[in-house]
Amino acid sequence: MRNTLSMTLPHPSRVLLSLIASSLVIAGLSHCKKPDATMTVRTGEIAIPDDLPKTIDFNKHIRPVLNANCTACHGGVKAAGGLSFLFREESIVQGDSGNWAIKPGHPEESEMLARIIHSDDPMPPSDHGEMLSPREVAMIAKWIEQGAEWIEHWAYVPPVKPEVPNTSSDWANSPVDQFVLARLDEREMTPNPPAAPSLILRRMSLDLIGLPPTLEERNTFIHAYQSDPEKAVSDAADRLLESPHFGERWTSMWMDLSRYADTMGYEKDSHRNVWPYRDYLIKSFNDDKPYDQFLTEQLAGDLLPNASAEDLVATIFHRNTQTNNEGGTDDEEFRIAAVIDRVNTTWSVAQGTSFGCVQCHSHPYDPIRHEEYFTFMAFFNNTADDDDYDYPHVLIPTNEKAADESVHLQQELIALRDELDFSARGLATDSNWLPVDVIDTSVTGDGKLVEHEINNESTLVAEGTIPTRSQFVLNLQPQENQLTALRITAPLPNGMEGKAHVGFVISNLVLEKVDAKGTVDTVPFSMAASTFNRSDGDVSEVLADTPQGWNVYPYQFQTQDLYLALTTPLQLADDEILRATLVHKRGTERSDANTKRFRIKTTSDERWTNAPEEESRIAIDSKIQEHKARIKELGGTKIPVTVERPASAQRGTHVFVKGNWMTLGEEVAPGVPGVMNELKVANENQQATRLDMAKWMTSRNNPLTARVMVNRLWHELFGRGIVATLGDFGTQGEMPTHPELLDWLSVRFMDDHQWHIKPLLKDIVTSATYQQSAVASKEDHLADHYNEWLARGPRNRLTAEMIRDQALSLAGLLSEKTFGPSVMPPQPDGVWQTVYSGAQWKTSTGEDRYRRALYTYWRRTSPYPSMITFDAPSREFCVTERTPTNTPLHALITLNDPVYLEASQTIGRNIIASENIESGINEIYQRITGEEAPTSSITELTNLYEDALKDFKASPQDSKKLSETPELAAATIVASVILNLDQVITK
Amino acid sequence: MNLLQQLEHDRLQHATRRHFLQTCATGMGSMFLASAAGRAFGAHGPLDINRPSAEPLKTLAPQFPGKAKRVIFLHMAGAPSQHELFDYKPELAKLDGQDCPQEYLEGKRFAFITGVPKLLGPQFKFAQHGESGAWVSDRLPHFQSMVDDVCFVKSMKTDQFNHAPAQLLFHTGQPRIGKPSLGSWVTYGLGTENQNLPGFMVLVSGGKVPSAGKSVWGSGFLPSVYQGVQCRSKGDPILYLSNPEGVSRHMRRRALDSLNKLNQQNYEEVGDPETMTRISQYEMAFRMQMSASDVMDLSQEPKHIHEMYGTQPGKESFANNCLLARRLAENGVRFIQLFHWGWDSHGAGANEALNKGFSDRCNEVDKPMTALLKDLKQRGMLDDTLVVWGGEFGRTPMRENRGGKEMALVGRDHNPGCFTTWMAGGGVKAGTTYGESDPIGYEVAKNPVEIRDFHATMLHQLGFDHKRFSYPVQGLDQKLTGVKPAKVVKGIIA
Repeated sequence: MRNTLSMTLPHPSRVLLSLIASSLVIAGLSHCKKPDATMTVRTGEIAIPDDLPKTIDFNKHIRPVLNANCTACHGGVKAAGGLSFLFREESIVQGDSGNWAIKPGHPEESEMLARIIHSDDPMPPSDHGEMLSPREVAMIAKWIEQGAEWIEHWAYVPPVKPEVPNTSSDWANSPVDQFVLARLDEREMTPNPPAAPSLILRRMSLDLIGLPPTLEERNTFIHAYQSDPEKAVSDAADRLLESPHFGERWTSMWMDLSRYADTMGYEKDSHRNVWPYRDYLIKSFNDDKPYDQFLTEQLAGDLLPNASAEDLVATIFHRNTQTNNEGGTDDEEFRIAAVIDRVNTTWSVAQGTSFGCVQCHSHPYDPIRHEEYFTFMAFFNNTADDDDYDYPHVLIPTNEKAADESVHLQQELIALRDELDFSARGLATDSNWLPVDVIDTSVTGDGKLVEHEINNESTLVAEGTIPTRSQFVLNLQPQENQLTALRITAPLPNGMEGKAHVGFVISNLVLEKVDAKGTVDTVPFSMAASTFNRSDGDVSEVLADTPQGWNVYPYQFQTQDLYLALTTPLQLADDEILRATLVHKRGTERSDANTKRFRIKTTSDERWTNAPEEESRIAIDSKIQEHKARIKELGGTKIPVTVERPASAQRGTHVFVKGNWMTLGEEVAPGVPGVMNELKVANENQQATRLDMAKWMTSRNNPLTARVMVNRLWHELFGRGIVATLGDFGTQGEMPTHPELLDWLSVRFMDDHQWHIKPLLKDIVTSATYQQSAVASKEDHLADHYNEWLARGPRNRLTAEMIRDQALSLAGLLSEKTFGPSVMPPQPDGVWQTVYSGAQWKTSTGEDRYRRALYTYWRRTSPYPSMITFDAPSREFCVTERTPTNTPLHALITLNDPVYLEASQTIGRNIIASENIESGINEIYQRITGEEAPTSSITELTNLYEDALKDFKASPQDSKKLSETPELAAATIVASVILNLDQVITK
Repeated sequence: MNLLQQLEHDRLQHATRRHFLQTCATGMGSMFLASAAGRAFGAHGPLDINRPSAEPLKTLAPQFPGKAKRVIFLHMAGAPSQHELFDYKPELAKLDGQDCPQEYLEGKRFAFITGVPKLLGPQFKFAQHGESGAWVSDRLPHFQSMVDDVCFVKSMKTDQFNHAPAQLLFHTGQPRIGKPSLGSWVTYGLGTENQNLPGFMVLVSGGKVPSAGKSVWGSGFLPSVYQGVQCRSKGDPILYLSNPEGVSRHMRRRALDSLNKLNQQNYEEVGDPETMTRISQYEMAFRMQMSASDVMDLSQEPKHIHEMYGTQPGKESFANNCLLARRLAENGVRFIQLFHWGWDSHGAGANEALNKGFSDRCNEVDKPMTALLKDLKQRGMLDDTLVVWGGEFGRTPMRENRGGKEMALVGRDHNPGCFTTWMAGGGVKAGTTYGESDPIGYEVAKNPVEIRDFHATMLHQLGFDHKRFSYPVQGLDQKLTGVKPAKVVKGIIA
């Protein structure tokens, strides 16, 4: 019943306030304290207490009140009465009545105040929420009086480097500490002394490289720390930052953000070859690639001038969206789902903003408009992928130099092919095309071709039940007897250019001449060109008897043309006609790839006959062949990439009315939200590109990019961001606990460190704040449970990856191997049982069983069990932070999972190999926890060993199952306990 | 501070705390911590579910007393044909073999049907059963005896026509991945009655997990402790439940005693309340090892029960899972989710075609689901156990003509427009039928029930107002039933 009560009973403050509010507000706070002033508005008087802040700050004092009480109805979802408190221009307005909602400088004329204190019908209406408190009302009144200055939410104003506070304490090591200490001083809190050196090193090592220090590293550090703590920490930080394992640790973080997985998702969840992207991440972190470059490559690497193989691999970032390959799915529906995911992920990852809200309506609380979602979506709406498995691909050879060469050749190949088409298009524009008379048509199955007017031209439209992979046969009478080329135009229905219609593939086009006696002669073609061909192949295949051909599939957005030049000019006798056969050999069971609408024209322009023989054309052709041969020779891995569709096949981007992709509103051009920094367009004559967007996002003026990343790094080290809501820097997010520190670090990141992450991390880990002891009393927890103010060091559970890697590392089992395809460490049988898929978990052998967790094969519909139990997300979509839990299932894993058993057995052997049990335990305890084992712990564990040994000696069968000898079995039990210690599971 | 200032101060403080819970994705986890440290949160607006950190699944009372205390959800994955089981349409029989009229096809999206398909009459004999006179086909001879305990909903509709998205909608309220499943919501809201077992357990048969994978029992934005735990028919019933070979229960106890002592010592030094939580979780795991193995051991059941369900211990089957479901229900598990794969009767393969594999599927489920209802009833548990049966969508009254051709086997395509589910127990109106489909079972003709209505009704039976059962995520109060208006279907409930 507790919940029932809690919901039906209003909060006590509300009861009291609503009882006394109306009389008090209007009459003034007479029985409390005499106010200094009152303001008169239309419906009464407002008391202005004298202890209000001197200057009212919009963001601090007013916006939270508006968001809590007003924006639900006067905001992004709904702007009742045309009034929205998200934008200044929609608040400081005159209503139909001529009254001002807010009139700067004139509270007495501001209708908003009159409505709030209306005694019979106050705002917000009683069934919508609590009344505003007298103080809130007074604050708004004073703000209006002071000119109603509208200051943007802090996160939308670019950071400026603040002064470092001057605190007098020898505790502080760095500016970071000065900022932290200034806040602690305000709260009369004192920071903790440093943690024990071994714990500092363990914390740094797990935080920076995701692995615990070796015993040797520990001893070296402790020794160095005794003589010069500052230098010891700095040296250790340098060593860890330069470690080849640094990249692996931070890649784990980025894999959640970029929703990395080795499969495509949904029902079939087939394999996807994207591991080179993981290698790219590891390398980028190891090389300390500047973050602005890192982001730009991932968002728009394909558009960079002379894009390298690495730039293309980076674009897998947005090919990690799911594709739905289930039979019978609508490719356009899931393509759009992927595009939406790209938009939302971009904003979550780089801008810390929940942009997804804006998909259906304007942002409820933040100044981002509904249309702005779609203008931003337009940046992503013309990539070539279309929910058809992993199309488009590029081949990436393993060797870096070969990779760059191959990628350049592949890009040139597209350009060369385009050049051929381009010259044909020019010729087509010049030629005089005449329509043909359709004598009769026949179609496989129950369908027929019916003539309709499209764009005022007669067009054949396929109707009825036409089986997949059918043939259309047309008998045609051209208007002139001489012809040199044929043109097939596939239009969209009237007025639908830019919108999605199911497309087609003409696998083969056969032209024949038929005379009155029925004699049939094939008319050969010498060349095929098109305005667009969506394929890894070549439009010339339309001339060959293969399934590939002229491909405008799965969806068509613009009218497209196919041009076919005859080998020699054809002269038709009066009794001869033409027969054209459209052969369709492609298409899925769900959706046929038959041609939907088309018309055929002919020309007698002689230039078509010579076109294939032109020297330039021959040169291009031979270049194409050479390129293809060299690309094949270089070989490599086929990976999906982000690339743009050609201009001739652009998709129009429309507002989705109420977020429904099938209800299209007005068409929009690419753009960014108006509240942010200005977008610069590189080529003024063209629309803004994805690259322009990436540069906008990584511009020095973008208010969010640096802050969001700095905050994320801080969160990784402290377990809590300076802004606690990593994915929401908007007005509904948490306010930063240390806004000046966040800005100081952000400016330092951009200016001093030129977007390099490693020196920024060093700034943080060398601070006294970071190195503090985590010890806290009950009172400390009561005073600051979440450690928001940092009077103690961070203490957090290890991530799923760290727990596994640590166990393997401590046992000496962990493979040092970096990079490469995903591996399959042991997993219980039967975890994978996926519908319509033959994929199998094939347990890796050799050192691949013991690779770091980030290399584990990630299947979206069935992730590695121990990882998801320890809170790793399924990677189906971007997750900005993991929710840490503490459940019995964790214990089952670290006690029983064969991975941890094997680690315990190995550690057990080390214990036994030591001089005696006590020293064996002490050594391993030190290695694992970083600390010297207290005597009481050694005694406890030694007793455990003795008890276990007794038992195993008494039951040799059990003993044998666990390890070679009873001693080893007993030591395995001890090792397992050590691996499960709280201080081992946490850092 | 005067009275008003004090009130204002308290209000602001309260708002700040609530704000944190609302906006921080770690809200729930942090809330556990907070309450462990002795703080309580005020509650107004959305439901605040406040539990000590060591007991995230602690039993809580619902918002109002519900008729159902637990749920057993039998999902027939792949979507069984209503035309061959419950939704008898003599009119469709008459139209068998005729071309489907054009008006039925305009504006429709199908998975595989192309052009103009032929109508397909019911493939099996139907008869009325029980006092309620419910129509059931001859494929379910056992189930016919239980129709007076069941409420059929013949007017179900969905807006998804592919398996994975439709299953996601059916279980999480959204067709895209990332939202908590029904079972997660329910265990989040009610906790569970037996702390030695997971509160939300999943049993899969038919050799496959559902199309949407584990997301259909995922916890979405709720803490992962509320995700479904899959029980397995081979090996450990719960992953890693058994001690490693050679580690006896006695040995584990001894090791845990040492571990607890050392962890306790660590807590005294460092003072992190999470350490105490961890100790209690290890203890719970130890108890779970015993209770889970025990509850999953079907050999404890007498012979007549095995005969009743048609169980064969040690084999993965729907029958075994039905019996397990009863045992889990008896042992206080809150939400028991079954999936049985193999109902995707397109006619593209013998194992699923209506004239082939469909009958096998019916045989596999008929006896055990009937036994489950009878068994719950004879134990007096049906009253407070909500049993739900259904697929993710229905099937077309047209015969599938994949690729525009007549297929060798007989099948039907996906139909989101109309399908049949049934509910029993848990305060459901027994022996009734709610809603109607049109004369050919293609669209809903009367009393449509959207998936969100279905969810609202289930939550209502469990004691929750779906409009006020929410979880704050990134500034929004997220609900299972989403933003479109949902209603409790009064006609289903007693």
